[in-house]
Amino acid sequence: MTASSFQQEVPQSMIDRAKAGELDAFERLYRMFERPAYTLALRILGDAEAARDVLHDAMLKVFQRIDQYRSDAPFWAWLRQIALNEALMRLRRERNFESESDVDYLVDDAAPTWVHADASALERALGTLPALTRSVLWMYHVEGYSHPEIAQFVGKTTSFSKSQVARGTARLRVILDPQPLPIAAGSSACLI
Amino acid sequence: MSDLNANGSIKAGGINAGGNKSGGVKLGDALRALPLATPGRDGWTALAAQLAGNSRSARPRRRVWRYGVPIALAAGLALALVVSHLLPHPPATTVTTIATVAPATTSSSSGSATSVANMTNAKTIQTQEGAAAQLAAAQNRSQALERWLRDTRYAASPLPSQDLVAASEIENLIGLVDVELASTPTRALPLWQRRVALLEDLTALRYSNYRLAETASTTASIDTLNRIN
Repeated sequence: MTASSFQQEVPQSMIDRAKAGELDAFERLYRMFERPAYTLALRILGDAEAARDVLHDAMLKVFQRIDQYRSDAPFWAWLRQIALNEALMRLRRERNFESESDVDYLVDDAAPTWVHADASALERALGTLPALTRSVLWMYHVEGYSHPEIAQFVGKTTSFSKSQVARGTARLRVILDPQPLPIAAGSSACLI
Repeated sequence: MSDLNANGSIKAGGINAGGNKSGGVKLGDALRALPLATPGRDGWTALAAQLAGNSRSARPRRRVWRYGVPIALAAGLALALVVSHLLPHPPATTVTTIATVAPATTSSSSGSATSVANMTNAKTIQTQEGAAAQLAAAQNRSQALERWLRDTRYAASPLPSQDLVAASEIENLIGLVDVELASTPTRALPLWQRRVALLEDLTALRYSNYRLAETASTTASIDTLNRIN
């Protein structure tokens, strides 16, 4: 399984230099994590401008606090958490924290459609999901957070996280491979 | 709060995704295979400028901290102590004053309706003044806590990652309260009280990681903080 794009080894010497205020060390860290942080924000917010703001704010926060960072967790995990918090906070602030309506999607065992879908189709389909569903799906599948962790981030229950993953998955399946509706017996519909 | 793995390992995210094991794994692979997005324009220049500005303004604070911390800490704590003692008093004082005025008005036998109206007015004024006093107290407390946090920023020892994330989250929540304060001034009192509560959380977090300077004055200041808490 491919790891999260955040998962990059950062030399301690670079962290130390950044802690000492060396701007070129900051820049190297920025360049390392710019795209993972931006991608995470973009997947959560679904808006390029907002994602750029989150990238800026998260990186600023990281650099302003790097002197307080202790190496008890990997640097990338710490930075990712700050970026995630910023993105979720923005989502909440924009009152875009509602999940989709309580509609059940069927989850079947058919061959997954995303295996055949190209990247742009999958991205487009992802973009049609409600922001919170998309965020939960991304945190779970791509960043590898557990359901209890996600529940804590979004202030909901573990079951909520699970249901969002199931619904988001089912919905992507429908979007990527819309099956024609079967015609019910006795229907007056006529296909010419 | 986030549960950062100590070794930073990624859990098997795709397994058992909402009861669809095979589909979940495949979807995870497909999502992770998506190319990373690019911000489009270089955000580093703006960030570098901001960082340079911050570090220039931060340097003198570090020097001041080295020598002035016991004084700053003691002053901040003393202020916080005074404010916290003042906080419950203004509403009580207002109640007493207005309560003695209202019955005097009701002694007139011909004016029972007037006296009821007066009492109602008095109660309204009392409530309004009480709320205003509470609001002022919350604002003062908020200021005092913010000042303490600002003054001790460079004295804190490095925070464990989880605490750092928690601090970041609390600051974000304070930002949210500020946004609400700007948009719904009618809810000022509960919002200011919420702001104070969050600042107190942040203070507790900072204080628990506070590096104890080995000077008697700092120890005395921390004793003061303990008494406040």
